[in-house]
Amino acid sequence: MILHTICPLEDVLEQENKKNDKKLTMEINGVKLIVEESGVNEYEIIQLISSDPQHFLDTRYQPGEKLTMKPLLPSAT
Amino acid sequence: MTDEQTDFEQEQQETEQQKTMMNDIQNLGETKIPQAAPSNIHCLTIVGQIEGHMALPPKNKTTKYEHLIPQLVAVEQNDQIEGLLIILNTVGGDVEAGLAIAEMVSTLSKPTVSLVLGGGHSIGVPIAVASNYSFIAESATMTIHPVRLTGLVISVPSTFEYLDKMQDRVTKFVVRNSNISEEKFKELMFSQGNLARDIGTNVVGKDAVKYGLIDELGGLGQALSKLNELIEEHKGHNREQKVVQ
Repeated sequence: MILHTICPLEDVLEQENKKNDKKLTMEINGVKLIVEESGVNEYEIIQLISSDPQHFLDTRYQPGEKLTMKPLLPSAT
Repeated sequence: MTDEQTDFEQEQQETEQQKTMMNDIQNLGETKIPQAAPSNIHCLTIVGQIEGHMALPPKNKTTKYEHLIPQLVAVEQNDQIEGLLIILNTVGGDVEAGLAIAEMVSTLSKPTVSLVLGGGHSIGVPIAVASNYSFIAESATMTIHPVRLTGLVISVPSTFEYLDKMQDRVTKFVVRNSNISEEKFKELMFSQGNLARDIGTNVVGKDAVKYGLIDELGGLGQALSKLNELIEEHKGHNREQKVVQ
């Protein structure tokens, strides 16, 4: 890997003390969301990944919104 | 078609609707909200570090290659999308991922316009110039500096040659996709005394246009109107082609 960046490499590659990262990427209605587990079967939207600007106006996908769901597959964590 | 059949179909449709509604309640905690009309312009935002073959530590804000590539494919393939706006505010990142995104953008058959806001540094430069037309905000900057090597150096001459080749990939792409000459780009890249910790040049908005790296100074409004103009041109061109055929 060759990095071409203005950030000092020691800053980019510095490892923090590993926190319990509960972030997941999931797709709902064709929209990619990065969510974080915030309770039992409850997830909070952290980031929305889409190239369609209209998705960013949709209140359902706004960061901070909570999703409640039953995972069909056992969760990765 | 008999009334019974249509009734049956209607019923089926209704249960289908109810099912999706139930799913929405379960998944999203609410029923379906009327959707806004789909936009004919899609927007890619490239922020933070451009992440490539290695996942960067979580404190980095990253734009992930695997998120962008499918979006670019969708933009190319979806008939309803007529143009792409690329917004950059990046500090650079992985050379291969950056070049991959840049190549995807430059080979997209639909009109593309890029806008550099804040910063479009290092490997962000080829992405910024990959579009059909590029804008830079007056206060935005682009840092042009050489690729550096990290990790183990076994033999100096071959390492140097490898690095030179990597550098050449970036330089060639930028020269091919913008109005800057190779000499000028290299001059900016290797000039001394401009950056505190490195050689290279920090090119501010106006200068980027002066050197031919970026097409025009502007912001969101200018970028969108240019994109709409390119879309109209593209449509006209397509129509002409159809007539010829």
